[in-house]
Amino acid sequence: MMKTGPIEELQRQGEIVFTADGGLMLGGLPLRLLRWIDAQLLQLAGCVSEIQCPSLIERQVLERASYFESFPHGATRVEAGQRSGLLAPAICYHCFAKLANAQIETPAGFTCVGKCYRHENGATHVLGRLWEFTMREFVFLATPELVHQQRRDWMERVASFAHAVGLKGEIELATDPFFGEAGRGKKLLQQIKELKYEFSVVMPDGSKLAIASFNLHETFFTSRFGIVAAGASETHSACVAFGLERWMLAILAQCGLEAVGQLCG
Amino acid sequence: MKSGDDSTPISRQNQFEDGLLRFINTELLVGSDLAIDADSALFADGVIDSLKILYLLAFIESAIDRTIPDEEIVMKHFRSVRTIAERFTRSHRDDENWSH
Repeated sequence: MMKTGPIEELQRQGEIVFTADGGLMLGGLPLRLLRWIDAQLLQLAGCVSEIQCPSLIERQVLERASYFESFPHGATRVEAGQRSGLLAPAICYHCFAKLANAQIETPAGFTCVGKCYRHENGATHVLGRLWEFTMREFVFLATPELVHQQRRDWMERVASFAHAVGLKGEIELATDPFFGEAGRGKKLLQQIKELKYEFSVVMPDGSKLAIASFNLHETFFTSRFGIVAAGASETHSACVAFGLERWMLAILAQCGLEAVGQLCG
Repeated sequence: MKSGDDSTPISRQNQFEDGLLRFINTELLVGSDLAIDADSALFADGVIDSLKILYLLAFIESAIDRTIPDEEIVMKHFRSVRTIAERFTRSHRDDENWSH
């Protein structure tokens, strides 16, 4: 008889339920693990302002972020009676909207958490590719040098955290564009400038799953949202994003139920 | 480099560098106040944008007479005109001895 993996075992117990429409229902150990991961990430960040974000996002925020130029069909649309809205495809957009047209003291750091919605070619049943998921993001704004340094620090912290937990993965230059499929020139520019790195793990079915990304935005968002730093000629931003359900599934799959029980039981 | 070229590796590299510098300064940066030298950082300060990088690649590919695969288009090779020249004027035989 084939050995059942930790995720299948938790599905059998009803503590992990992949819903037919691309959501995830959690209870017991996996829910404790997800909350434990989030608490650990917050600790890695130290002291930063915390923001809890709504699922809905104003269209004008995504327009200001040039979102539709890169991902014309990326945002999920919802309707209720005469009203319609969009669901956030990423959390940091809320953060930039909150800071719009402001003069800020830098370096500045924020963390935001909320539900995100991405419909990736309809592949919502693939393990870890959910339509709805929870994203924890850390956003920082500073000089170009400091933003680079902060991203390097985050990559080291995440690698150390994963190693401590027993999660095997690799931090690699990302091949999928952060700013969308907006042409070969943009993709190559992103690759050369090393704007996006990902921390990826291998799942039991052999598929590779990116569970964190480390993104330099340069002045992409600060210029569009009119965010300026007091006394600085140029303000860059960056974000580090974690898909919490993916982290939970990856740790369960690689470390097993007993080890997870010891981590957060 | 194009076949039939019997110049030395150093002179090939220097010729390529000179040609690439001239192309960038007179074609890509035309109308701007910027001028670069062989060691200038090409991807700082928005010198090369998403359109200019395609012109830059077309120039290099034409000069070396081969297509550059996307995996080779990374910062360590494209930091400056000098690093581009060092990487892409080596012969395929040199390439075989490189560690990736």
